[in-house]
Amino acid sequence: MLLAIRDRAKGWFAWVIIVLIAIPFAFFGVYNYLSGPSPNIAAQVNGEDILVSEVTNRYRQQRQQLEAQFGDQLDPAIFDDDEMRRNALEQLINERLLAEYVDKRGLRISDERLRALVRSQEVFHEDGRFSSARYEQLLRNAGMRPEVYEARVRNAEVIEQLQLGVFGTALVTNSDIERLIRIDRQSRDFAYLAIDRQAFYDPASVTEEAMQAFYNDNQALFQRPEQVRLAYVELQEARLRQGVEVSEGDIRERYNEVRDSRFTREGDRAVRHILISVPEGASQAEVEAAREQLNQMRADIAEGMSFEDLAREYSDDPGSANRGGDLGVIRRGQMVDEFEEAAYMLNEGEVSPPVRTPFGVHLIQVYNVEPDRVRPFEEVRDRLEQELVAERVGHRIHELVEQLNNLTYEHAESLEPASEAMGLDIQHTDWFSRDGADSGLASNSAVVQQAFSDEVLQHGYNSEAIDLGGRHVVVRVEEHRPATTLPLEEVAEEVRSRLAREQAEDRARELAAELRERLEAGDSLESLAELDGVTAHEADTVVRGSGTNHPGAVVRQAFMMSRPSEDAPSVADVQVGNGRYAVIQLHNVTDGDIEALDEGEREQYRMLLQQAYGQAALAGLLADLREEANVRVYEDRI
Amino acid sequence: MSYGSDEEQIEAIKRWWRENGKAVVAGVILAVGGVVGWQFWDTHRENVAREASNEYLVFLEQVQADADSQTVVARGEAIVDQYGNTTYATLTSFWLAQFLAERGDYEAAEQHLRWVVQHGDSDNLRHIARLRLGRLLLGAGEYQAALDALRTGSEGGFRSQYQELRGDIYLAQGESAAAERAYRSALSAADIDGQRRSLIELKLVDMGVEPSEPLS
Repeated sequence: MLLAIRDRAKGWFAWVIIVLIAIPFAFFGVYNYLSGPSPNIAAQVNGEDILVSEVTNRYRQQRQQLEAQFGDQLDPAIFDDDEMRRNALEQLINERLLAEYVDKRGLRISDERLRALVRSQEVFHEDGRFSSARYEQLLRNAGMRPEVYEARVRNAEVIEQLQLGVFGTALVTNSDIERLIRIDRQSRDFAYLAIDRQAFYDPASVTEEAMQAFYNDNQALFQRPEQVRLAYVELQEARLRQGVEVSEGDIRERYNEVRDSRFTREGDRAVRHILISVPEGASQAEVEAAREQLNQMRADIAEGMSFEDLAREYSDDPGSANRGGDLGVIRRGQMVDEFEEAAYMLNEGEVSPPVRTPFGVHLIQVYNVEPDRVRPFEEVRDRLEQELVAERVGHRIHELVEQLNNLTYEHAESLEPASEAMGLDIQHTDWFSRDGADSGLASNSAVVQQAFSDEVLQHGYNSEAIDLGGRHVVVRVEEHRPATTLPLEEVAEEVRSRLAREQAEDRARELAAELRERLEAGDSLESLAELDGVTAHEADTVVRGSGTNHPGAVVRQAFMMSRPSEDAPSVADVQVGNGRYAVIQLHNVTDGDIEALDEGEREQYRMLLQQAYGQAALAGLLADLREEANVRVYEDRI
Repeated sequence: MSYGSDEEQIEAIKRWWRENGKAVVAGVILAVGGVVGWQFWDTHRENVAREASNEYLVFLEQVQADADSQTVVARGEAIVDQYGNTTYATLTSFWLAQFLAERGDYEAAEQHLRWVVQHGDSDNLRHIARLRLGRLLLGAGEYQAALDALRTGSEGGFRSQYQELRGDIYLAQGESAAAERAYRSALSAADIDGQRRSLIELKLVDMGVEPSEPLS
């Protein structure tokens, strides 16, 4: 036999076998190349996947936290979604890196410590003590096995150990604190000359030539787009509302109609159950077997056997079995649908037929039913009244809009007939372009769109009624003018004041440079303050970072200037904004003195530094791990 | 070679076994022994790690409860002695250094940080020890020793911290040009974060330098 194979191994037979063996290997490799990493992976850290869904979950959690914290003040512009998702991913990557690191470095938690940690979690407490039934129940609800949960606790705890050991051990010496206080509590004495361009603002000095030149060079500034003015009639819901009356009888009648469906809350019920667990994909036969068994029990209970004893003996739900199947009080929405439906069909004391749910097959008994709760008429009366008024106004407005549409369609070239028949005033808008206006009727994009439509603009017809939420308008174009370049005469004043402003600002800037030079040359501040448009100000012992009445740019500059020498102050000029300039003369710098601070203030500085250094140590560690690791991020999937 | 029949082949196999059998058996025993030995060693290491963890937590509790120096130091040093090659020894040394420095004993604190620099677990944590050592020596006024303590091959993810500390030391030595260079290089390192950036910028501003201006 061996010989036979060996002989044939030289011929075609060998090749067949070799090819057969090779095929799966070949395709295995190709398959991996073709498919690439699965598209639900957002990143890989040393070959471990981070799923897109993990990123999304983390991002949602953070968003919810922010919303809970800031509520409506949450400015969507500040909280850029992309950036938040990116942050969430960074966090997950860092967590993976740390988890791997602590594992590799042999950080561990003993079993006793783990037990103590789990037992101290308040979610698992019942009556102030750890309850293993509750622990198992909660884990099962979350679909997690205890080993998995415990591994997570272990992991989180050792990461915490490492973080605290790195962050909490930062070291701050007195010299660090002194150095920071020296700068942060530093005060400076300075004076400055403020220059306001207003003093040099002189429209009369602007020449006609300059205006013409500016006009010629800046034609784009003087374009006026195509514009229209509208005439319109308007229906207002608010006005109709005043005329609508609803009688007490109407409200009472409405209450009786909807009481059961809207104002009645079904009573909570207390239930027990017996579960024969059958996995979701189980065969029909398995389900039938479970049903059979439960039907038998149901018959036994009908003959007087105790539901609770049977639950204790047969139920597969470990959380409730030893309490006689008791699940306590349940509310709507708490249990899976099939279970809930069955439980709410039962009267007190009744036992359901077997019910199939994803967990298996249940027998359910309701042992207590609280009475239904009905909200009394007085409590909901006002709400119902408002609803009725809104309904009636809705009907009425519908009729009126129809009438308006008919009248303005039949007389498409005028608003007069509708105005007269319905008693609506014809009103007018100001000029506006396709961009609309900032306020008034033309600030509604729907109105602008209609105004520039073919029907209304080209043919001169009335628009159809436009619904603006509470208001309905019909518009027509009253006047139309095409785009044009405005002539210089019309914009002369605008051009003149603009040029005058620019000239004044140039003058102010030149003056600032000139004053700086004269101060450097030794002129006194007081003598320069006599010049037109210049005022002198003193700022003594301004502490860094404290509030002052002086312009922010001046103070910022004063704290950025190099220290004055023995015989001469330092000088600098700065633009303050809005055409104002300042020239600063720095006289004196007094460093912050640790001796002048009380114990509490020093401690604050120490804490600040310790935090910064601790944070830095952690950040450095993470940056280091990141450099060493192989991290791939699939940007387009985040 | 070629064999005439099945019998001859079986004979050949027997002969091969007689020649190589012992080596095969020895190999198998070695392999099995290696696996068992490795597992034993692994379990042992795991147990040591858990023990060290427990000891460390007790020590940490004492540190946080501000127990008296003698107790804390004795317990800490015992961990370093007994579990020297675990990360717990390194973390313990960090706590001891902080604990002692806060009580003014810079010399003893220095010894613990030097221990981590030499024997500490992992390069990452040794960077942290070096930086703390440098800061401690700066606080003690030993500028040259502080600069020496910062000497290392790669600075990894800690570059901005090395450079900031060098800047602090140069400034203390009165070498403001060198300090400015170091601070600027810290600001341009990839691993800097917002809070420390503003602390460094504050130092530059105080030196009369605009932080965002390019280096002249």
